[in-house]
Amino acid sequence: MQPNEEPALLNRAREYDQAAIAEIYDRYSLRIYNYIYHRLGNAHLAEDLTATVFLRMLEAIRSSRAWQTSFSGWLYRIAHNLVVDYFRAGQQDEVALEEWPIPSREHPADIAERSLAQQRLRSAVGQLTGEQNVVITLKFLEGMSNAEVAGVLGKSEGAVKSLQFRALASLRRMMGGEEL
Amino acid sequence: VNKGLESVLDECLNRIEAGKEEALDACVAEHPALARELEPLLHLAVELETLREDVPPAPAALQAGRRKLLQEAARLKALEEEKARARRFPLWALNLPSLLRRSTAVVALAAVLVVTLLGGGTIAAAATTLPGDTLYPVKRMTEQFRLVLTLDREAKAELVQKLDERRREEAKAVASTGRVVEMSFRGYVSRMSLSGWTISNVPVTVSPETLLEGEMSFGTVVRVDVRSLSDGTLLAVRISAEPQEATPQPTLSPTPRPTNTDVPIQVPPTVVPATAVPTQVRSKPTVAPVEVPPTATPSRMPTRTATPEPTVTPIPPTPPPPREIKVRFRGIIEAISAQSWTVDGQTVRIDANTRVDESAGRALVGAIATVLALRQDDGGLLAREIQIEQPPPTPEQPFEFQGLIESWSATQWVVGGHVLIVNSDTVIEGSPQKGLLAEVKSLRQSDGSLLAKSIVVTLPTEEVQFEGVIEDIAADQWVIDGIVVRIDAQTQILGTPAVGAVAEVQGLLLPDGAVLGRRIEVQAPLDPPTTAPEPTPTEMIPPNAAPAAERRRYASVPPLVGSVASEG
Repeated sequence: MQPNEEPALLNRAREYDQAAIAEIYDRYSLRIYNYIYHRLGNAHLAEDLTATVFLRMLEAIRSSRAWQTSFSGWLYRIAHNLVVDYFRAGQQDEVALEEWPIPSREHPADIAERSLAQQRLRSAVGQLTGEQNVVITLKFLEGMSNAEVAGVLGKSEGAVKSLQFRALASLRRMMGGEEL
Repeated sequence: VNKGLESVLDECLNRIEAGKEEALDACVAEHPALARELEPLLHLAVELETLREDVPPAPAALQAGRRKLLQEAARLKALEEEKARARRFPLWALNLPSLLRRSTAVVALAAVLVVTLLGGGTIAAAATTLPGDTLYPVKRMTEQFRLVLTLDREAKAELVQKLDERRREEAKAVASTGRVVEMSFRGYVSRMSLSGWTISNVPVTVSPETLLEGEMSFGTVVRVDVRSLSDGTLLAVRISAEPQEATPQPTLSPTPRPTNTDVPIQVPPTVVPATAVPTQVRSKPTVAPVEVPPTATPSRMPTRTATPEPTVTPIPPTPPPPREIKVRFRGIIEAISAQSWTVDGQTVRIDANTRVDESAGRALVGAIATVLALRQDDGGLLAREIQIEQPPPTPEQPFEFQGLIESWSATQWVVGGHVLIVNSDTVIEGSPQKGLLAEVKSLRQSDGSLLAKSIVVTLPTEEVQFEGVIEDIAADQWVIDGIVVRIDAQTQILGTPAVGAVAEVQGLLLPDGAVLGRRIEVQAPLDPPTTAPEPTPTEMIPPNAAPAAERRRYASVPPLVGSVASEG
């Protein structure tokens, strides 16, 4: 989205303009979907939560506090919070975090077929703290630059670099310090 | 040190991301002091990027999400417009009974003001207006004045009915114009179907988004909030059961007969219309409500039996209890959090008293649930009961495996014990043959079945050659010296096949121990034929007395002879 175009589009969306909302959805839904998918590893869930992200956006878009700097960052934060809520609800059911990306009904052979190393890594990413998780997901799984990640998180690029370092160090510890 | 490491790490990551060859090793070499820390982190980052290759499946449901979003936007927009209209013409102006409760003087003043400001001509002009017209609020206001000023209860009840009828006629009239307006009217449910209901001869469309509040059946008095659509239909936004007390009872006598027996029966406290300005009744200093038991039993009127004065007013109507609005709706669970769930686009709060029935399936996002909730004062919903009706559909999951072909047909293969559905989209490479190894890529569908996307039949590479007596001949396989030799279109057969004849077999050892015949040369029978010929010294497979499992062990040894191709 062109920087000079975004405010006008968002203003129209604030008035529930159908075309503007449709345009926002078309521009961002796939990115949000991919983000959630990479967090949860489940396409069906990602579809559901993506729909919820945009419904939440609609509920809050009229609020002046909806987003301060970056609209896309705000969307990612909604998505992040939903994912966190989802995990939280899952923990209430005493489902181990490591098990989440694998649907419970998956055929045992499917599980065997998965790359265990990648599975471990994904599981470890899922256990990172909120901002570290977002940085790793956006930077390495979504391929965003530091500046883009900073926009999403509303932080400086320097802060993103620090987060990136701490996140990788945490992951290394979780993976048992093994050389990958 | 960390600051330095952070910067170097970031710089190296940028170089690796830019795709510079050898960037990782070069970076590590350039920073020997940090190498021990740096190298594993860079390897980890590279490994993380491989997860990016895990491309999510095509998000088919994103289009459904888009439709839902736009529907919700339309609903919210309509709501905002309604609020804006209310701000332009405040609701209190239409809610004169509440004003009356506060001050009759204010009402009187308002009446004078309205008549003065608008004039009789304006009011007359407003009489024929429809919802959405500029003067329509004037029409509603004059109606409210009439209602307030009608003191006779029977007349008031008739007026209420007449106004209800007018609202319904207005709704039909607006719909016929194709104008998009939100309205509300009241009536009896006379037809209920999946697509639409009829409320006192007014057909309304019911959609999954329609809010249904309270228990409803045929004959229930309901209030319907509708939106007229440009196609001439009325879409019900909300249908709520009206409290029983609200039904006007024109037969109610304002002066009940003071007999000992029939008063308590014929004049139960609930028959007083709630809409009939309860403040007027409440203000009458009759029997103190505290003396009246809440249940309608004859014993509640001991004073009347003692003093049957005809002027005694009926039991003062206790105001109806605060209406507990129950909302029941059904849909897909879209989100679950510790405080609230979103079902069918509606967010309901949950608390310790919320009962979740998971007997038919686990409460997971994607499951279908029926929610019974109470509408709260703040407009929110508090879930009382959530019943999971259907577990979430299992998404199609890719399932790849290798196995031996057991059987095959145009529509179904069995490979490695898995039944595969095969259709015109299934890509099949190679010719199927029982016992051959197949690499299968399939999708596990929501019903658990496997739909084959591709099947690659792998030919074995281990070649065998042996000679023996033909013991059995069938179309697809022979038995030679106790060994099953499978025949397919590529099998070259020389000589005249006959049971008892000696054949030399060149073939490929199948994983199940059988041999896929590539070349079978049947030798001419000796003259005169002897009894069962002895195995020749060139035989490479143990005699047929050896059990199949044992032969299979032999199958695992390297090729026993040179390749068939090299022998021509």
